[in-house]
Amino acid sequence: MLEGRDLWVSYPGVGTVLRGVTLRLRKGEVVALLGPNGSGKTTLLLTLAGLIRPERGEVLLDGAPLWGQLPEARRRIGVLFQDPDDQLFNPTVREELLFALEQLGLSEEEKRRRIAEVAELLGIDHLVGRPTHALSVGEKRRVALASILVYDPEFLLLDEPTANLDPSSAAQLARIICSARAGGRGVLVATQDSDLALALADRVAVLQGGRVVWEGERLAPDLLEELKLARGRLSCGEQ
Amino acid sequence: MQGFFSPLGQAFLERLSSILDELSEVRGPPAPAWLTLVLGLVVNAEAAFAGSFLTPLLAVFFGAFLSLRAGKTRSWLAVTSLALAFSSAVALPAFAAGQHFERGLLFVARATGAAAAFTGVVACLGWYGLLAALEQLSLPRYALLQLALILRMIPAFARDAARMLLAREARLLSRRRRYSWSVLASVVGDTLLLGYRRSRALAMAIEARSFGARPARTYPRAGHTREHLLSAITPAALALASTLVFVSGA
Repeated sequence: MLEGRDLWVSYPGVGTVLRGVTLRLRKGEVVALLGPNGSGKTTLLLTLAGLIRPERGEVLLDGAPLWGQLPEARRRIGVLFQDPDDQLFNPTVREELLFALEQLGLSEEEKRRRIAEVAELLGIDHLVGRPTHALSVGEKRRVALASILVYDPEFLLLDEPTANLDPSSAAQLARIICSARAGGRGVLVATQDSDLALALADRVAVLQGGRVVWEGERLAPDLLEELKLARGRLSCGEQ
Repeated sequence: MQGFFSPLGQAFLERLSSILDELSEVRGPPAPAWLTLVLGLVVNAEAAFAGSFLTPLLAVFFGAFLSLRAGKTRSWLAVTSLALAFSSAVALPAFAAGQHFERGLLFVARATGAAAAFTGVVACLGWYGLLAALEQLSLPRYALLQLALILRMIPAFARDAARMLLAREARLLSRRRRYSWSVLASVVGDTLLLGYRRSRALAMAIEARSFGARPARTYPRAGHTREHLLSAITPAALALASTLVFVSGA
Protein backbone atom coordinates (compact mmCIF):
# COMPACT_ATOMS: atom_id res chain seq x y z
CA MET A 1 0.00 0.00 0.00
CA LEU A 2 1.11 3.55 -0.76
CA GLU A 3 -0.14 5.95 1.84
CA GLY A 4 0.13 9.65 2.51
CA ARG A 5 -0.66 10.67 6.11
CA ASP A 6 -1.46 14.20 7.17
CA LEU A 7 0.50 15.79 4.34
CA TRP A 8 1.27 19.49 4.43
CA VAL A 9 3.03 21.10 1.49
CA SER A 10 3.67 24.79 0.78
CA TYR A 11 5.36 26.65 -2.05
CA PRO A 12 7.22 29.92 -1.45
CA GLY A 13 5.19 32.82 -2.73
CA VAL A 14 2.15 30.60 -3.29
CA GLY A 15 1.19 29.42 0.18
CA THR A 16 -0.03 26.11 1.53
CA VAL A 17 -1.15 23.78 -1.22
CA LEU A 18 -1.85 20.62 0.78
CA ARG A 19 -3.44 20.89 4.21
CA GLY A 20 -3.28 17.68 6.16
CA VAL A 21 -4.20 15.34 3.31
CA THR A 22 -4.46 11.62 4.03
CA LEU A 23 -4.92 9.21 1.16
CA ARG A 24 -4.33 5.48 0.69
CA LEU A 25 -3.74 3.55 -2.48
CA ARG A 26 -3.89 -0.23 -2.24
CA LYS A 27 -2.67 -2.69 -4.80
CA GLY A 28 -5.41 -3.90 -7.13
CA GLU A 29 -7.56 -0.77 -6.86
CA VAL A 30 -8.14 2.40 -8.86
CA VAL A 31 -8.58 5.65 -6.97
CA ALA A 32 -9.72 8.76 -8.82
CA LEU A 33 -8.63 12.10 -7.43
CA LEU A 34 -11.04 14.82 -8.53
CA GLY A 35 -10.79 18.50 -7.88
CA PRO A 36 -10.83 21.91 -9.51
CA ASN A 37 -7.74 23.67 -10.91
CA GLY A 38 -5.35 24.61 -8.16
CA SER A 39 -6.80 22.17 -5.63
CA GLY A 40 -3.45 20.41 -5.15
CA LYS A 41 -3.92 17.22 -7.17
CA THR A 42 -0.54 17.40 -8.91
CA THR A 43 1.25 18.33 -5.70
CA LEU A 44 -0.35 15.37 -3.93
CA LEU A 45 0.71 13.00 -6.70
CA LEU A 46 4.31 14.24 -6.67
CA THR A 47 4.41 14.03 -2.88
CA LEU A 48 3.16 10.44 -2.91
CA ALA A 49 5.82 9.66 -5.53
CA GLY A 50 8.53 10.93 -3.20
CA LEU A 51 9.48 13.82 -5.46
CA ILE A 52 8.29 16.55 -3.10
CA ARG A 53 9.09 16.33 0.58
CA PRO A 54 6.17 17.41 2.80
CA GLU A 55 6.78 19.87 5.62
CA ARG A 56 4.60 17.78 7.87
CA GLY A 57 3.23 14.28 7.56
CA GLU A 58 4.75 11.26 5.90
CA VAL A 59 4.47 8.98 2.91
CA LEU A 60 4.57 5.25 3.62
CA LEU A 61 5.23 2.43 1.21
CA ASP A 62 4.07 -0.89 2.65
CA GLY A 63 4.15 0.65 6.10
CA ALA A 64 7.71 1.99 5.96
CA PRO A 65 8.66 5.64 5.27
CA LEU A 66 9.12 6.09 1.53
CA TRP A 67 11.95 8.61 1.84
CA GLY A 68 14.03 6.03 3.67
CA GLN A 69 13.65 3.61 0.76
CA LEU A 70 14.60 5.97 -2.06
CA PRO A 71 15.85 5.82 -4.72
CA GLU A 72 15.42 2.05 -5.04
CA ALA A 73 11.71 2.28 -4.19
CA ARG A 74 11.13 4.35 -7.31
CA ARG A 75 11.24 1.06 -9.15
CA ARG A 76 7.83 0.37 -7.64
CA ILE A 77 6.17 3.69 -8.47
CA GLY A 78 5.44 5.11 -11.92
CA VAL A 79 4.50 8.78 -12.31
CA LEU A 80 2.86 10.22 -15.41
CA PHE A 81 3.37 13.98 -15.47
CA GLN A 82 0.65 16.34 -16.62
CA ASP A 83 2.86 17.89 -19.31
CA PRO A 84 4.65 15.22 -21.36
CA ASP A 85 7.38 17.71 -22.27
CA ASP A 86 8.29 17.73 -18.59
CA GLN A 87 8.68 13.97 -18.62
CA LEU A 88 10.47 13.17 -21.88
CA PHE A 89 14.17 13.99 -21.74
CA ASN A 90 15.88 11.53 -24.04
CA PRO A 91 16.72 12.21 -27.68
CA THR A 92 14.61 9.39 -29.17
CA VAL A 93 11.60 7.33 -28.14
CA ARG A 94 13.68 4.16 -27.95
CA GLU A 95 16.14 5.77 -25.55
CA GLU A 96 13.24 7.11 -23.51
CA LEU A 97 11.89 3.60 -23.05
CA LEU A 98 15.37 2.20 -22.39
CA PHE A 99 16.23 4.74 -19.69
CA ALA A 100 14.57 2.85 -16.83
CA LEU A 101 15.32 -0.62 -18.22
CA GLU A 102 19.07 0.00 -18.35
CA GLN A 103 19.08 0.55 -14.61
CA LEU A 104 17.46 -2.81 -13.91
CA GLY A 105 20.30 -4.95 -15.27
CA LEU A 106 18.08 -6.79 -17.74
CA SER A 107 19.37 -8.78 -20.70
CA GLU A 108 19.25 -7.17 -24.15
CA GLU A 109 16.60 -9.67 -25.19
CA GLU A 110 14.40 -8.81 -22.21
CA LYS A 111 14.76 -5.09 -22.87
CA ARG A 112 13.78 -5.57 -26.52
CA ARG A 113 10.82 -7.73 -25.51
CA ARG A 114 9.51 -5.19 -23.01
CA ILE A 115 9.88 -2.31 -25.41
CA ALA A 116 8.10 -4.22 -28.17
CA GLU A 117 5.31 -5.21 -25.80
CA VAL A 118 4.68 -1.73 -24.46
CA ALA A 119 5.00 -0.15 -27.91
CA GLU A 120 2.35 -2.49 -29.26
CA LEU A 121 0.10 -1.94 -26.25
CA LEU A 122 0.13 1.83 -26.71
CA GLY A 123 0.27 1.85 -30.51
CA ILE A 124 3.64 3.58 -30.72
CA ASP A 125 5.58 0.94 -32.68
CA HIS A 126 6.03 3.35 -35.59
CA LEU A 127 7.41 6.05 -33.27
CA VAL A 128 10.21 4.11 -31.62
CA GLY A 129 13.00 5.52 -33.78
CA ARG A 130 11.71 9.11 -33.82
CA PRO A 131 13.13 12.08 -31.88
CA THR A 132 10.87 12.88 -28.95
CA HIS A 133 10.67 16.58 -29.73
CA ALA A 134 9.10 15.82 -33.12
CA LEU A 135 6.02 14.05 -31.71
CA SER A 136 2.54 15.49 -31.42
CA VAL A 137 1.12 16.17 -27.95
CA GLY A 138 -0.96 12.98 -27.98
CA GLU A 139 1.99 10.91 -29.16
CA LYS A 140 4.19 12.39 -26.45
CA ARG A 141 1.59 11.48 -23.85
CA ARG A 142 1.50 7.88 -25.05
CA VAL A 143 5.30 7.68 -25.08
CA ALA A 144 5.41 9.16 -21.58
CA LEU A 145 2.99 6.49 -20.38
CA ALA A 146 5.00 3.79 -22.14
CA SER A 147 8.17 5.02 -20.43
CA ILE A 148 6.69 4.13 -17.04
CA LEU A 149 4.75 1.00 -18.00
CA VAL A 150 7.91 -0.50 -19.49
CA TYR A 151 9.43 -1.12 -16.05
CA ASP A 152 6.16 -2.51 -14.68
CA PRO A 153 5.78 -0.56 -11.41
CA GLU A 154 3.39 -1.70 -8.69
CA PHE A 155 1.79 1.72 -8.31
CA LEU A 156 0.81 4.07 -11.12
CA LEU A 157 0.25 7.75 -10.36
CA LEU A 158 -1.31 9.37 -13.43
CA ASP A 159 -1.78 13.14 -13.69
CA GLU A 160 -4.53 14.02 -16.17
CA PRO A 161 -3.81 10.96 -18.34
CA THR A 162 -6.62 11.55 -20.84
CA ALA A 163 -5.79 15.21 -21.56
CA ASN A 164 -5.12 15.78 -25.29
CA LEU A 165 -6.04 12.21 -26.17
CA ASP A 166 -8.58 11.41 -28.89
CA PRO A 167 -11.56 9.27 -27.81
CA SER A 168 -10.10 6.00 -29.06
CA SER A 169 -6.78 6.66 -27.29
CA ALA A 170 -8.66 7.60 -24.14
CA ALA A 171 -10.60 4.34 -24.36
CA GLN A 172 -7.34 2.47 -24.84
CA LEU A 173 -5.94 4.17 -21.76
CA ALA A 174 -9.02 3.16 -19.79
CA ARG A 175 -8.40 -0.46 -20.82
CA ILE A 176 -4.78 -0.15 -19.71
CA ILE A 177 -5.89 1.14 -16.31
CA CYS A 178 -8.34 -1.76 -15.93
CA SER A 179 -5.67 -4.19 -16.97
CA ALA A 180 -3.23 -2.70 -14.45
CA ARG A 181 -5.81 -3.13 -11.70
CA ALA A 182 -6.50 -6.71 -12.77
CA GLY A 183 -2.74 -7.31 -12.62
CA GLY A 184 -2.71 -6.26 -8.98
CA ARG A 185 -1.38 -2.74 -9.43
CA GLY A 186 -2.63 0.28 -7.57
CA VAL A 187 -3.60 3.19 -9.83
CA LEU A 188 -4.20 6.76 -8.69
CA VAL A 189 -5.68 8.96 -11.40
CA ALA A 190 -5.76 12.73 -10.87
CA THR A 191 -8.34 14.02 -13.29
CA GLN A 192 -11.04 16.53 -13.97
CA ASP A 193 -12.85 13.99 -16.08
CA SER A 194 -15.66 12.83 -13.81
CA ASP A 195 -16.88 10.35 -16.45
CA LEU A 196 -13.50 8.61 -16.35
CA ALA A 197 -13.65 8.55 -12.56
CA LEU A 198 -17.14 7.09 -12.50
CA ALA A 199 -16.30 4.53 -15.16
CA LEU A 200 -13.08 3.19 -13.69
CA ALA A 201 -12.53 4.09 -10.08
CA ASP A 202 -13.15 1.86 -7.10
CA ARG A 203 -12.88 4.88 -4.85
CA VAL A 204 -13.07 8.59 -5.45
CA ALA A 205 -11.46 11.36 -3.43
CA VAL A 206 -12.34 15.00 -4.01
CA LEU A 207 -9.67 17.58 -3.28
CA GLN A 208 -10.54 21.21 -2.75
CA GLY A 209 -8.42 23.99 -1.32
CA GLY A 210 -5.73 21.47 -0.41
CA ARG A 211 -8.03 19.26 1.63
CA VAL A 212 -9.85 16.03 0.92
CA VAL A 213 -13.45 17.17 1.20
CA TRP A 214 -15.05 13.92 0.15
CA GLU A 215 -13.90 10.32 -0.13
CA GLY A 216 -15.83 7.16 -0.77
CA GLU A 217 -17.05 4.58 -3.20
CA ARG A 218 -17.55 5.76 -6.77
CA LEU A 219 -21.23 4.98 -6.92
CA ALA A 220 -22.09 6.81 -3.73
CA PRO A 221 -25.42 8.62 -4.27
CA ASP A 222 -24.24 11.98 -2.91
CA LEU A 223 -21.24 12.01 -5.24
CA LEU A 224 -23.42 11.18 -8.23
CA GLU A 225 -25.81 13.94 -7.26
CA GLU A 226 -22.98 16.48 -6.97
CA LEU A 227 -21.55 15.48 -10.37
CA LYS A 228 -25.01 15.72 -11.94
CA LEU A 229 -25.36 19.23 -10.53
CA ALA A 230 -21.92 20.14 -11.88
CA ARG A 231 -22.92 18.97 -15.37
CA GLY A 232 -26.08 20.99 -15.13
CA ARG A 233 -24.09 24.14 -14.42
CA LEU A 234 -22.15 23.62 -17.66
CA SER A 235 -25.23 23.42 -19.88
CA CYS A 236 -26.95 26.30 -21.62
CA GLY A 237 -30.27 25.42 -19.98
CA GLU A 238 -31.72 26.68 -16.73
CA GLN A 239 -29.18 27.43 -13.98
CA MET B 1 2.56 48.41 -39.97
CA GLN B 2 0.81 46.29 -37.37
CA GLY B 3 3.05 44.03 -35.33
CA PHE B 4 6.10 44.81 -37.44
CA PHE B 5 8.60 42.85 -35.40
CA SER B 6 6.29 40.03 -34.43
CA PRO B 7 6.02 38.43 -37.89
CA LEU B 8 9.80 38.68 -38.27
CA GLY B 9 10.38 37.23 -34.82
CA GLN B 10 7.89 34.46 -35.43
CA ALA B 11 9.28 33.69 -38.87
CA PHE B 12 12.75 33.52 -37.36
CA LEU B 13 11.64 31.09 -34.66
CA GLU B 14 9.73 28.92 -37.11
CA ARG B 15 12.69 28.86 -39.47
CA LEU B 16 14.99 28.03 -36.56
CA SER B 17 12.72 25.11 -35.59
CA SER B 18 12.65 23.75 -39.13
CA ILE B 19 16.43 24.10 -39.50
CA LEU B 20 16.98 22.23 -36.25
CA ASP B 21 14.54 19.55 -37.37
CA GLU B 22 16.28 19.11 -40.70
CA LEU B 23 19.74 19.07 -39.15
CA SER B 24 18.67 16.43 -36.64
CA GLU B 25 17.89 13.87 -39.35
CA VAL B 26 20.55 11.24 -39.85
CA ARG B 27 21.39 10.66 -43.51
CA GLY B 28 24.54 8.58 -43.29
CA PRO B 29 28.02 10.15 -43.17
CA PRO B 30 30.64 9.33 -45.84
CA ALA B 31 32.98 7.96 -43.15
CA PRO B 32 32.59 6.52 -39.65
CA ALA B 33 30.83 9.07 -37.43
CA TRP B 34 33.79 9.62 -35.10
CA LEU B 35 36.15 10.20 -38.01
CA THR B 36 33.79 12.70 -39.62
CA LEU B 37 33.50 14.53 -36.31
CA VAL B 38 37.25 14.59 -35.63
CA LEU B 39 37.94 15.82 -39.15
CA GLY B 40 35.25 18.45 -38.77
CA LEU B 41 36.64 19.63 -35.44
CA VAL B 42 40.15 19.88 -36.88
CA VAL B 43 38.90 21.93 -39.83
CA ASN B 44 36.78 24.01 -37.46
CA ALA B 45 39.78 24.74 -35.21
CA GLU B 46 42.05 25.51 -38.16
CA ALA B 47 39.50 27.95 -39.57
CA ALA B 48 38.86 29.56 -36.20
CA PHE B 49 42.55 30.39 -35.66
CA ALA B 50 43.64 30.87 -39.27
CA GLY B 51 46.16 33.60 -40.08
CA SER B 52 44.97 34.07 -43.65
CA PHE B 53 41.74 33.91 -45.62
CA LEU B 54 42.55 30.66 -47.41
CA THR B 55 41.86 28.24 -44.55
CA PRO B 56 38.43 29.69 -43.69
CA LEU B 57 37.53 29.55 -47.37
CA LEU B 58 38.54 25.89 -47.52
CA ALA B 59 36.48 25.28 -44.38
CA VAL B 60 33.44 26.78 -46.11
CA PHE B 61 33.95 24.42 -49.06
CA PHE B 62 34.37 21.52 -46.63
CA GLY B 63 31.07 22.35 -44.92
CA ALA B 64 29.35 22.91 -48.24
CA PHE B 65 30.53 19.53 -49.51
CA LEU B 66 29.25 17.70 -46.43
CA SER B 67 25.90 19.46 -46.49
CA LEU B 68 25.46 18.87 -50.23
CA ARG B 69 26.17 15.21 -49.71
CA ALA B 70 23.58 15.08 -46.93
CA GLY B 71 21.05 17.02 -48.98
CA LYS B 72 20.73 19.76 -46.36
CA THR B 73 22.20 22.68 -48.27
CA ARG B 74 19.38 25.07 -47.42
CA SER B 75 19.83 24.64 -43.67
CA TRP B 76 23.61 24.81 -43.97
CA LEU B 77 23.34 28.01 -46.00
CA ALA B 78 20.95 29.54 -43.46
CA VAL B 79 23.26 28.85 -40.52
CA THR B 80 26.40 29.96 -42.38
CA SER B 81 24.68 33.18 -43.51
CA LEU B 82 23.60 33.84 -39.94
CA ALA B 83 27.19 33.38 -38.74
CA LEU B 84 28.36 35.74 -41.46
CA ALA B 85 25.78 38.34 -40.49
CA PHE B 86 26.48 38.18 -36.76
CA SER B 87 30.26 38.24 -37.13
CA SER B 88 30.00 41.18 -39.53
CA ALA B 89 27.91 43.04 -36.98
CA VAL B 90 30.45 42.29 -34.25
CA ALA B 91 33.31 43.41 -36.53
CA LEU B 92 31.66 46.75 -37.42
CA PRO B 93 33.86 48.76 -35.04
CA ALA B 94 36.94 47.27 -36.72
CA PHE B 95 35.59 48.20 -40.15
CA ALA B 96 34.83 51.69 -38.92
CA ALA B 97 38.39 52.12 -37.61
CA GLY B 98 40.28 52.03 -40.90
CA GLN B 99 43.56 50.55 -39.65
CA HIS B 100 41.81 47.42 -38.34
CA PHE B 101 39.74 46.78 -41.43
CA GLU B 102 41.73 43.72 -42.48
CA ARG B 103 41.65 42.25 -38.99
CA GLY B 104 37.91 42.71 -38.95
CA LEU B 105 37.65 40.87 -42.27
CA LEU B 106 39.84 38.07 -40.92
CA PHE B 107 37.60 37.79 -37.88
CA VAL B 108 34.51 37.48 -40.09
CA ALA B 109 36.26 34.89 -42.27
CA ARG B 110 37.33 32.83 -39.26
CA ALA B 111 33.87 32.88 -37.64
CA THR B 112 32.07 32.06 -40.86
CA GLY B 113 34.54 29.34 -41.88
CA ALA B 114 34.37 27.66 -38.48
CA ALA B 115 30.56 27.83 -38.42
CA ALA B 116 30.34 26.49 -41.98
CA ALA B 117 32.62 23.54 -41.19
CA PHE B 118 30.84 22.60 -37.98
CA THR B 119 27.38 22.99 -39.51
CA GLY B 120 28.48 20.76 -42.38
CA VAL B 121 29.46 18.09 -39.86
CA VAL B 122 26.10 18.40 -38.08
CA ALA B 123 24.26 18.28 -41.42
CA CYS B 124 26.14 15.12 -42.27
CA LEU B 125 25.77 13.35 -38.93
CA GLY B 126 22.55 14.82 -37.58
CA TRP B 127 22.47 15.96 -33.96
CA TYR B 128 22.00 12.43 -32.69
CA GLY B 129 24.70 11.10 -34.98
CA LEU B 130 26.91 13.74 -33.39
CA LEU B 131 26.09 12.28 -29.97
CA ALA B 132 26.89 8.79 -31.25
CA ALA B 133 30.23 10.05 -32.58
CA LEU B 134 31.05 11.67 -29.23
CA GLU B 135 30.18 8.40 -27.53
CA GLN B 136 32.55 6.55 -29.87
CA LEU B 137 35.23 9.05 -28.86
CA SER B 138 34.59 8.13 -25.20
CA LEU B 139 33.26 11.49 -24.12
CA PRO B 140 32.27 11.11 -20.44
CA ARG B 141 28.71 9.84 -20.15
CA TYR B 142 27.72 12.65 -17.82
CA ALA B 143 28.69 15.26 -20.44
CA LEU B 144 27.00 13.23 -23.17
CA LEU B 145 23.70 13.14 -21.27
CA GLN B 146 23.85 16.87 -20.67
CA LEU B 147 24.49 17.54 -24.35
CA ALA B 148 21.65 15.20 -25.35
CA LEU B 149 19.32 17.06 -23.03
CA ILE B 150 20.33 20.42 -24.50
CA LEU B 151 19.72 19.11 -28.03
CA ARG B 152 16.35 17.77 -26.96
CA MET B 153 15.29 21.07 -25.45
CA ILE B 154 16.44 23.60 -28.07
CA PRO B 155 13.74 22.80 -30.65
CA ALA B 156 11.17 22.43 -27.88
CA PHE B 157 11.90 25.93 -26.60
CA ALA B 158 12.00 27.38 -30.11
CA ARG B 159 8.53 25.97 -30.78
CA ASP B 160 7.17 27.16 -27.45
CA ALA B 161 8.44 30.65 -28.14
CA ALA B 162 6.89 30.61 -31.63
CA ARG B 163 3.56 29.48 -30.19
CA MET B 164 3.64 32.17 -27.50
CA LEU B 165 4.40 34.80 -30.10
CA LEU B 166 1.51 33.63 -32.25
CA ALA B 167 -0.91 33.58 -29.35
CA ARG B 168 0.06 37.09 -28.23
CA GLU B 169 0.06 38.49 -31.72
CA ALA B 170 -3.56 37.39 -31.96
CA ARG B 171 -4.32 40.18 -29.50
CA LEU B 172 -2.26 42.89 -31.18
CA LEU B 173 -5.00 45.29 -32.16
CA SER B 174 -3.00 48.48 -32.35
CA ARG B 175 -0.49 49.59 -34.97
CA ARG B 176 1.68 51.20 -32.34
CA ARG B 177 5.21 49.85 -32.28
CA ARG B 178 5.47 49.74 -28.51
CA TYR B 179 2.83 47.01 -28.31
CA SER B 180 4.76 44.84 -30.73
CA TRP B 181 7.92 45.34 -28.71
CA SER B 182 6.16 44.53 -25.46
CA VAL B 183 4.84 41.30 -26.99
CA LEU B 184 8.32 40.32 -28.18
CA ALA B 185 9.90 41.24 -24.84
CA SER B 186 7.27 39.25 -22.95
CA VAL B 187 8.01 36.17 -25.04
CA VAL B 188 11.72 36.45 -24.27
CA GLY B 189 11.02 36.80 -20.56
CA ASP B 190 8.47 34.01 -20.47
CA THR B 191 10.77 31.68 -22.39
CA LEU B 192 13.39 32.21 -19.68
CA LEU B 193 10.81 31.49 -16.99
CA LEU B 194 9.61 28.47 -18.91
CA GLY B 195 13.20 27.25 -19.01
CA TYR B 196 13.48 27.50 -15.25
CA ARG B 197 10.14 25.77 -14.65
CA ARG B 198 10.88 23.04 -17.15
CA SER B 199 14.34 22.39 -15.72
CA ARG B 200 12.83 21.80 -12.28
CA ALA B 201 10.17 19.49 -13.72
CA LEU B 202 12.76 17.61 -15.78
CA ALA B 203 14.90 17.12 -12.68
CA MET B 204 11.89 15.52 -11.01
CA ALA B 205 11.13 13.39 -14.05
CA ILE B 206 14.73 12.12 -14.18
CA GLU B 207 14.63 11.47 -10.45
CA ALA B 208 11.32 9.60 -10.77
CA ARG B 209 12.95 7.07 -13.08
CA SER B 210 16.33 6.84 -11.36
CA PHE B 211 16.24 3.73 -9.23
CA GLY B 212 19.81 3.48 -8.09
CA ALA B 213 21.45 6.74 -9.13
CA ARG B 214 21.65 9.77 -6.86
CA PRO B 215 18.71 12.16 -7.04
CA ALA B 216 19.09 14.94 -9.62
CA ARG B 217 19.33 17.63 -6.96
CA THR B 218 22.39 16.25 -5.16
CA TYR B 219 26.05 15.98 -6.17
CA PRO B 220 27.28 12.70 -7.68
CA ARG B 221 29.03 10.05 -5.64
CA ALA B 222 32.81 9.82 -5.32
CA GLY B 223 32.80 6.73 -7.55
CA HIS B 224 32.08 8.95 -10.56
CA THR B 225 34.83 11.45 -9.73
CA ARG B 226 36.97 10.53 -12.71
CA GLU B 227 34.11 11.04 -15.16
CA HIS B 228 33.16 14.35 -13.63
CA LEU B 229 36.73 15.55 -13.53
CA LEU B 230 37.02 14.74 -17.20
CA SER B 231 33.73 16.52 -17.90
CA ALA B 232 34.98 19.61 -16.11
CA ILE B 233 38.58 19.55 -17.28
CA THR B 234 37.94 18.89 -20.96
CA PRO B 235 35.96 22.06 -21.75
CA ALA B 236 38.15 24.15 -19.44
CA ALA B 237 41.30 22.90 -21.14
CA LEU B 238 39.76 23.48 -24.53
CA ALA B 239 38.79 27.02 -23.60
CA LEU B 240 42.24 27.76 -22.19
CA ALA B 241 44.00 26.30 -25.21
CA SER B 242 41.76 28.27 -27.57
CA THR B 243 42.45 31.49 -25.71
CA LEU B 244 46.21 30.93 -25.70
CA VAL B 245 46.29 30.09 -29.39
CA PHE B 246 44.12 33.07 -30.22
CA VAL B 247 46.19 35.48 -28.15
CA SER B 248 49.48 34.22 -29.52
CA GLY B 249 48.36 33.93 -33.10
CA ALA B 250 46.29 37.09 -33.49
